[in-house]
Amino acid sequence: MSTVLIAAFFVMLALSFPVAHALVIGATLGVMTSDHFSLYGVIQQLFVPTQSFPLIAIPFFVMAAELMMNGTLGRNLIDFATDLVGRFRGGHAQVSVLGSTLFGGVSGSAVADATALGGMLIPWQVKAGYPKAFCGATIAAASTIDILIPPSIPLILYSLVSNASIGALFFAGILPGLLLAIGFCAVCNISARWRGFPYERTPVAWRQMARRGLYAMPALLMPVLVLVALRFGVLTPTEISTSAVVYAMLVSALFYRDLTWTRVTHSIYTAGIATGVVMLLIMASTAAGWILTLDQVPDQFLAWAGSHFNSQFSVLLLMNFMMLIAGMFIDLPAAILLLTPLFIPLAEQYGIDLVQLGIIMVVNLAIGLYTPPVGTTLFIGSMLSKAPIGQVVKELLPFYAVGLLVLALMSYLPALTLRMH
Amino acid sequence: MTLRSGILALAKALDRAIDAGCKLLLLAMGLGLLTLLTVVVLMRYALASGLTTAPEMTELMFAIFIMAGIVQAARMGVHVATQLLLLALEGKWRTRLAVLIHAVIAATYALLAWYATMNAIIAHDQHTPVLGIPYSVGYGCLSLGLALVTVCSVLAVVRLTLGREEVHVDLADPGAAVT
Repeated sequence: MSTVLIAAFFVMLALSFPVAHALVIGATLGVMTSDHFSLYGVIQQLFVPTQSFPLIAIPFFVMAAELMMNGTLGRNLIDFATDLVGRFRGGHAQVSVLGSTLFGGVSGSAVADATALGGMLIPWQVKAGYPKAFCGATIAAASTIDILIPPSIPLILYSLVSNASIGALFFAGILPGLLLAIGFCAVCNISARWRGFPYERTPVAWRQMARRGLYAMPALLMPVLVLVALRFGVLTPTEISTSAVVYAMLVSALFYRDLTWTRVTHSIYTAGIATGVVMLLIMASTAAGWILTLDQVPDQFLAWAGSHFNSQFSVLLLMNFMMLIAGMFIDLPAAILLLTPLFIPLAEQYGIDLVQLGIIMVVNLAIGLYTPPVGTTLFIGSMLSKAPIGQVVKELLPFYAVGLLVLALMSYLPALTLRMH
Repeated sequence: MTLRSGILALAKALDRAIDAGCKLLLLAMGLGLLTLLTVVVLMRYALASGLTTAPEMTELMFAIFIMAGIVQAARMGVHVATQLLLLALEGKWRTRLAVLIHAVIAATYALLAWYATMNAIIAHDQHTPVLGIPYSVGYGCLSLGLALVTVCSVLAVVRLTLGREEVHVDLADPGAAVT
């Protein structure tokens, strides 16, 4: 069954089938070749995730982000980021990095972030004299910070498969997110110095900066409130997500005064479609995982890895290599759902903490979002900057170096995976 | 009206009906879930009590919400795909590949919808402990969702063949933006 499933999956992936459909079809074909199992098994596996209470958090975090970002707040966050770093060398590009970090606390999607921020910032950066490809590269890399800053949908998915605590994962995601932000800002700064990019010389308008900071405060408080609620166990992650929606509605209605019925309905539709996409992936991965487990593929992988790699260092190297390759071809949620069940037994055998593994996984697969041949934020950066993908990839080289450095730090320095005590 | 234009008009009407139905379900279930979960939290902290029916209602509403989302995503063609081959092909070959993809999806999901319906019939005699809802309702949702994905794929084939619609490939399309 597994051979048919795996072969069908890769053939259909190459033929441009949607990933979730390729998994569903592969699982169906796999079971049809078996004498012992029927398609009722596939149906039951597809059904199981629809009854998962923690997954209800996904649509509501998406909805809260939609409510927050589609109003006047989005523009204001960018202005605030510009006030903070715009005057430094490479400041225009650093606004992309800081903007992504700030957006990350509200949204949970790198792709949405790249589209929203890139659409606003790239024309402004190009007008200021920055090379188009550099602007595209900056947004492609910086937008991935978003998925490490809580609330993070990839971390919720990892938590579902690994049973690691969502709160612990959210907390541990902050440091690598900030390290990436610092590293990317450094790339912008050094590039600007070497290549003589222009920068703002106007004096800082402190009062305006303070006003914008105050205006953005309710949105910036959201991730803090999420973490506090998780830390003290006041609410479950699902309840936190619905509370975030209520908070976003109240803030939009009472503070920003831009809440309309159209925005509410739009945010629900967007959340519904995003949930449909990610849930079909989860359902399909559950069915595929069931077949792989029946054929004892995870056990075989564990035995193979155990015979070839005999230290924690080399196992982490193997996992990272596999994830980097997978991330280049498969979308991030699918890669998490497919690789986590394979890696968990290996991590447990070699004493790798599951929260640390989750962070490594998201940092690693985030790099896949801006690596060719399949990199969604890379494509978005290239399209918005109107620069060829090859040029954007060339500009991305120092960003890859930062991404890999942070990945190495998170992999080999477990102390950097912050704990909630 | 020719047969071709009649089929195309029917396809368009079906597509609109699916769109309207999914939007209605997403709105109703989305707001329902939000209200229910908010009430549960408020009751827990304000009245130190809870709703015994909440878990079962939540499961049912979430299942409907998911299936409406899956169908709407299929209708809009935003399920995540690696479209490099589609991009590399041009003209007729791109259309042929797109037709093949939709045809295979339609056939598989039709088969699975049938099995889900059979599963719903088998599960009909079992009921949830509090509300007494038959388990067939959940499997019925799954069956209907799978059937509607089939319909969306068939409609796409109709548009590509009879309607001679072009296949647009945009690798930078954020789609449903879940990552």
